[in-house]
Amino acid sequence: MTTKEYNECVSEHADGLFRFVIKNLNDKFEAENIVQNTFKKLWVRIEHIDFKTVKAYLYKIAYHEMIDATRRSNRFLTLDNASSVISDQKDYDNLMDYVNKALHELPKQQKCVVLLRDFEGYDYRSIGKIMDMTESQVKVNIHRARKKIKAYISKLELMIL
Amino acid sequence: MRLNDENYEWIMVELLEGNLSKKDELLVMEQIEEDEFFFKQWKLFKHTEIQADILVNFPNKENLFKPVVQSPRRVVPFYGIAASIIFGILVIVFWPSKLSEKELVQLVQPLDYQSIETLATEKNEVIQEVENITQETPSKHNHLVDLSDSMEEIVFTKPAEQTNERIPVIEDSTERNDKIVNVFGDKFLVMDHPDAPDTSVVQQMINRDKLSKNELPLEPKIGEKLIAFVTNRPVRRVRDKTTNIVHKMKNPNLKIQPTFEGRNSTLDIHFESEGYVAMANFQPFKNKN
Repeated sequence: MTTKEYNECVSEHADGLFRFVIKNLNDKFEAENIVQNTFKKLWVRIEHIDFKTVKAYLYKIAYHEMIDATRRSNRFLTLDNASSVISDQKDYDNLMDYVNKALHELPKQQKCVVLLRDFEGYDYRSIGKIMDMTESQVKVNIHRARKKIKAYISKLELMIL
Repeated sequence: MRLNDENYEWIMVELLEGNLSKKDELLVMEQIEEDEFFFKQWKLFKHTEIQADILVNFPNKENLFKPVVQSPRRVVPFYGIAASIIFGILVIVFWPSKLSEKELVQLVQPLDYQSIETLATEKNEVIQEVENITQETPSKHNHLVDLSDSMEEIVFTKPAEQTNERIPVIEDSTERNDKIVNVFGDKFLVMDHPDAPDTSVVQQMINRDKLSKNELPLEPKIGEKLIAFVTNRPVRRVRDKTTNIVHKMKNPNLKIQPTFEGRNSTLDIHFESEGYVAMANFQPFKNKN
């Protein structure tokens, strides 16, 4: 991959990667560090990375960076404190807030799987490559995650339907 | 595919994920629209899709960009290849090769008559000077070679016309072994010398008026060696140099000592003039001299 391609990669994927990380960690400062480190690692291995597969490579690095970050500081939120820090964005309606709360209640793997699926539109195989899982495991995790989110918003009886 | 209380969640997630066929999608959607409970559950499942916050952007993106500079690791191989090609071309161009046909022809071209006349004049002057020296101090030069005698034996001949005509060569076999017919240099000299090579070889080369690689009778290495010997004119060069030096010196003492012992014959020249001594040693074929 050339420097020009690297810069294209930053333009195309930095924001999406940041959103993915901040949704997982719910920590803007930590998310910035992880994105920074992710691109730093990409730059170090720029000659060995194919531009066509760089997106999956970025998310894989970011995913492992997040795991390291949560191991260090146990950043993943529980349902009890999830309501306090969602995002800097104040434009969420109530339903969106509760969906985010439900999302942050999910186990790490289910949360990542859903975010990769919904944010980036990855298929099961690609998600499995990023997260070192089989397609079946990805599918099972997505089913469980959606059921839990659905159960959470229905339990709160937010009937804005 | 029928929806019921046990499988509706699995089927709705599959529908949401787009894993159902078109036919199954239509069938499931009909059931969802017909049943209020399933419709309500479907609405909830549709909200499980997480929407990206497109307004959230990475704030330090500018710091991630790198200046587009050609990596030296990518440039070096290019210059290396270019340098190798240039080096190869230079080696091919400047590689020492055998004498070309043109060079061989040039070697046998006679020079003008003017230079011969000049040498004849110098010769007379040198002979005169040597005679004067030997007459002045005969006892002092007893051990030296009588240069005047040897110089007297030098016979100058007028060359053939400045054309490509065959150069006249002494054909007499008795004379042939006693004389060097030097036709390859800048002057025509016929001089007696015991070290003279067989003139038949020279004759053989002279006869090659129209030299070409295909017509060369000798093997390349032997031919080149012979040409180098003849064109370098070791004996004549020694005599010329000696004559020139003696001509410029005052009251010179000269001793020429040929040595034929050992593998290589040598010629030692010893000069002495006004307290200064110069010695020279000539070895044919050593360093092409």
